[in-house]
Amino acid sequence: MILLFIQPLLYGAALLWEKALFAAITVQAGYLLYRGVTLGRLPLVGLHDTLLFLSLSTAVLSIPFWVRIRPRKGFFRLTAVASLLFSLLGMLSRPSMMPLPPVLKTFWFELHVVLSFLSYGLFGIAAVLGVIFLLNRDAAMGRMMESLQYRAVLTGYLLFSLSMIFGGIWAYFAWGSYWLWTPKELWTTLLWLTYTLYLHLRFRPYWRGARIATIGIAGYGVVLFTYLGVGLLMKSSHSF
Amino acid sequence: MGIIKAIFNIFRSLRMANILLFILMGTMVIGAIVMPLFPSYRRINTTSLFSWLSVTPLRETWWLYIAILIVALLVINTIFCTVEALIKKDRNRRWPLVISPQLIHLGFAFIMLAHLLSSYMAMQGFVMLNEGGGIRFSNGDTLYLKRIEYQLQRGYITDMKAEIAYSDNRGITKRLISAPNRPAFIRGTGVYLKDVEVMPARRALLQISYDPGARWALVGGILFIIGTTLLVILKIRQEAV
Repeated sequence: MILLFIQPLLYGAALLWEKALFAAITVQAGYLLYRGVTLGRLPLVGLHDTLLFLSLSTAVLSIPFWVRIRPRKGFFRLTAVASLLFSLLGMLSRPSMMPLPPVLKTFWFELHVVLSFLSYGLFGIAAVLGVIFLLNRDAAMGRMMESLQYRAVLTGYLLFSLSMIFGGIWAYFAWGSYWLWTPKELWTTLLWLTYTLYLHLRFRPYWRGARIATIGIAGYGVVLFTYLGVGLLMKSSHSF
Repeated sequence: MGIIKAIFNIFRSLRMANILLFILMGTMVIGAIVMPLFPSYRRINTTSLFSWLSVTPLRETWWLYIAILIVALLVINTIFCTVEALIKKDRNRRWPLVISPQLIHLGFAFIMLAHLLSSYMAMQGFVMLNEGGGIRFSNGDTLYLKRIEYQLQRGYITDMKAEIAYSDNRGITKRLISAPNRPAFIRGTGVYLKDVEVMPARRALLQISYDPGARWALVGGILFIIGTTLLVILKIRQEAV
């Protein structure tokens, strides 16, 4: 339990001392591992676990970008703040201690959830890069941010598409159809369409630069609403 | 000839794809808002989409018709774009970079074909059977629930399975097991164990589903992922910082 309370403190400390990020990642991974061992399954059910996993995904996936960006302080702080925020929200949510319902006992579900949150992490990083792009006046730095945002979105798009396909396979074995007409599924498709549009718009020179960076930021708004808004407000197979 | 070429040029364009994607996003937002407002949407997943559309008032479903139209136009746009890319074969570009978006497009087209098949021909039904009981279908085949098993942990069902038997009209009987995430398949139709009850009688809720689009959706998904993976590798290399 102590690990749960230490991790946001470490993310907070990372804002002052960068290397504390690695300690935060280790502690958070340790906590999730502990929960996994205690529950005898992947701890990815309910807001508590998924918010902590999103926090961890954002922090871990920011590292390959972090090492490329110079100067990196702005990027580092924004991603650390995002991880801190998700970590705090996760801490405030009640952990699910219930046994897993039979329909969730399949690796298709596990792959679906893990890949979703990894892609959400990358989309979050893309949004941070977009914000830095918009705040930056240096042209070379701007080009680098835009290029890195594109890489984050493209990789996130691959993971998210994989997650949707695994979700479809799971749905077929669990509910008899790979697609269900629910608001959550529509929002998930909307999220996928948002990044499909991003990737297509970027081919056109008119959209390059500030416009595409803004769409990368707006896309994360759709991510957060699809994850939190729809999960909390609408009844579906994804309700919390 | 000029008109055909003009239509081809409009439909193959990236601008057209972007406009269609944007409109489709709008219909999805409307759909997500409209769906919880009408009770008819509680039945949408219990039959094929087109059967459901045929009995549901247009004022509740108009956005779905627009979405279907936009998706159809997107598929045409995708096919035209792919045809053009393959005919052009830009010599300056490496072939994996040319082929990977086309694999993605092909995958998308297969997934949409799957949706079309499912929307026309998918079937679903539910039946509650007592242990030892059965149900006879209109073609003379019979489904029996032989035995149910379940595990309880702190009052929650943590595992369950049902042994079923299926006799066709020639008297050939197959014994199968159905469990959550492990449906029993009989000639492409799945028998899904949805729930078990022990009081007042030992019985199980079974779902019988047929989704002809599933295998095409899987083919489409595989093509889509191969194309996207290839594109990610190539583009990340290309986008040197």
